[in-house]
Amino acid sequence: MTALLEIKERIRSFCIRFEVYLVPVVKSILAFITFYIIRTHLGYMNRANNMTLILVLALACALLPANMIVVFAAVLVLLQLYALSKAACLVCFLTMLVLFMLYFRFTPKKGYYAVLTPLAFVFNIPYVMPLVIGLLDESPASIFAMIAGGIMYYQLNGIVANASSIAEMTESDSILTKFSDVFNQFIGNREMVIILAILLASALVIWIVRRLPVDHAWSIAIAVGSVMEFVLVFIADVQMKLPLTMVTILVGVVVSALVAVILKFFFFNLDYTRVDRVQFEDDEYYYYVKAVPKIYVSNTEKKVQKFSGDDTTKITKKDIAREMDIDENLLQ
Amino acid sequence: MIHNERVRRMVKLQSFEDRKGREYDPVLGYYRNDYVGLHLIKGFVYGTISFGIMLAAWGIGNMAELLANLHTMDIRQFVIDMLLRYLAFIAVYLLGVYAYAHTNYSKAKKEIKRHNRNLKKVIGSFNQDGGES
Repeated sequence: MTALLEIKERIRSFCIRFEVYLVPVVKSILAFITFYIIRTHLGYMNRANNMTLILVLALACALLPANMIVVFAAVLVLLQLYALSKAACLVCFLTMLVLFMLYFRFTPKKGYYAVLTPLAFVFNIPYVMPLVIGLLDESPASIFAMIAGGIMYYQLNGIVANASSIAEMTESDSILTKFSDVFNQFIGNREMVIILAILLASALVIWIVRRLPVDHAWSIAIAVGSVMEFVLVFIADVQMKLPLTMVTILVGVVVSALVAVILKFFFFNLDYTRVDRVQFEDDEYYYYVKAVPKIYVSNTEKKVQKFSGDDTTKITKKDIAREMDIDENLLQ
Repeated sequence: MIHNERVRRMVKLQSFEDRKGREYDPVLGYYRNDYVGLHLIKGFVYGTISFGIMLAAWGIGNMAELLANLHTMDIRQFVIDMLLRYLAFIAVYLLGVYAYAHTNYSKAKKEIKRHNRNLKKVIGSFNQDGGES
């Protein structure tokens, strides 16, 4: 355990020291992963599939605000869908517009949750997002960014699943017909409504439990949140016959819980055995304070002491004379 | 001689100005009711536009069915139904906007008060020993 804490402190010191370089690198990597997944999952437009373009945009995101990843991702998605079908592009654009107007005013700086949520869905661990938001975020408003990301994922997933039939629509089909088909496929997606409702409820419960003034609040929140997500998704899967397997759900929840435990280790590691309760007052208030110390291990400083047999120093009469402050000729 | 405590407070003051100063500046210019009211107005406009877009998209998506039933359906009842849905949607959305604006204002005021308390302590510390840093 001490070794883990030392590793944690080393990582923390490293991140603090090189934060100026690390933040752009992390943003760039996140942007690259996002754009690459858009390229592999959609990939209908050859120009937008260009790896050079993706690399350049990812590097640009290193220097721009985090919300620009959302903007570039949105533009890439619309370009890809435009190559597939104008109707699909229009439906997607209108969805993005409505989501932007409704949610963006609540969480203008949490755009990265709208990017991370679809990535979590792609990797089959969407259950990690309520845990991350519930544990780390001060405000539950970030849940809207997660819901927006989830809606975009399901819409794009539906379009990709029906891409062949959407592309097959001939030019004689009016754009209204095409729009109607794509729109109804999106609206009729029961799985989207149920899963996003479960994620919303879980995130709220985790956020509330985490903030309770009880010992081990974070651990309780992780346990309650994970169990709640598993039970609700399992019931929904059985009752509504969703296209999910038991193994996928279980693995997804377990991995999400592990990620949450790692986050707790890094961000909220407290020693509840050494709780201190104090009372004091100032001019305005009387304070009842419960202080829970953080588990902290200072980095051990390595001291290297060399013992060498070759270290022989020749001492001359001159050195001794200088040391004793006498005339050298007096020494024999 | 460097006053560690004063330097620590000054670093906190500057950090607040850099990170949250711009975000909380609008809060300073409004009373609570005005701030919440402004957000409610913006929310009403954005919410109405969003509902309009969603309604238009739904209308286009179900155009064939609507046109087929146009001569048999009760248009008055349909309009009332849409109006009730709009009112329900805008009510829920504005409730969320109100909760957000109210909480944001309270949080901003609290942090600005803490910032001002810090500022007073730094000024007091300067006055105590003649501005020596």
